Amino acid sequence: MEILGLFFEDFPLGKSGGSVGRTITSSDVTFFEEMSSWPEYSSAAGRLAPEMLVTMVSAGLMTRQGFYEGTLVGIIGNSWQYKAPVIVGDTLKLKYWVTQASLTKSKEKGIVVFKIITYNQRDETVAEGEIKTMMKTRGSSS
Amino acid sequence: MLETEERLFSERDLLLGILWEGDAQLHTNRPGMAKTPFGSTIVHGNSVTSMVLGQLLRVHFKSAEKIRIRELTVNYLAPVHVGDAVKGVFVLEESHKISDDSKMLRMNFEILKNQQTRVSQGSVSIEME
Repeated sequence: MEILGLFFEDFPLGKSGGSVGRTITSSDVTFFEEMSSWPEYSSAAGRLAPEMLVTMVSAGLMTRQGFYEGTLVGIIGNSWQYKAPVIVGDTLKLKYWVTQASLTKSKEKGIVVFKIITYNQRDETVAEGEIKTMMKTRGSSS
Repeated sequence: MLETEERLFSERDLLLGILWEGDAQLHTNRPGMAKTPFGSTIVHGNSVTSMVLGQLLRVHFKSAEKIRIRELTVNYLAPVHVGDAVKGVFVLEESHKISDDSKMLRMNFEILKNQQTRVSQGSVSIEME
């Protein structure tokens, strides 16, 4: 596996960052609903993006940081609170910071937990989450 | 208890995660993944959750006019590969009225593959009108 990402040791508590923007299009929602069997819902403001699409776009904005490449063992959990609806045409960004970092028993891997805030073009928080990852350490053999 | 129909995961289903979450090698690098304990590329955990939750909403809550997921927690316990058949089992933990025409449900769930292996467990809060 090509290693281009960061290791467990590169994620001290409090390490933080942010993402670029990602506009949610009508096609995003159409394809997501078709592929996941998600029903279509609308509000007075417009067509709603499914909450799981918001989750996946947020996860994608984390992937685009580049630090998972070849060093992520897996996402082992996540939890989200959806604070406001996301409408087609909204542009999402996120900020993140490390809230937990601990080695596993073998010391070949470490658990890194990211706190995430996803917000829209009006700086309104639309979702707050935690992504729990398992990352390789520099001494990892695989 | 509510169950979703078993769904067989195909290569097409890998695209859901690839499109929105990105590659991250675990899902598209076959030779790389062959050297890991997973043995092969795996389906994004959020794709599995999306498909099971989507089916729950579509089949079991089709009479609701509006539905919003308020909270979701998922812990991943085992990988899903192309060829695995997956279903969700939901148990209602709490239900309360928010207004005359809306209520909040909180359910715990498990997602199983091939009728026996638990691949994830979690909880979801759903507001519906």
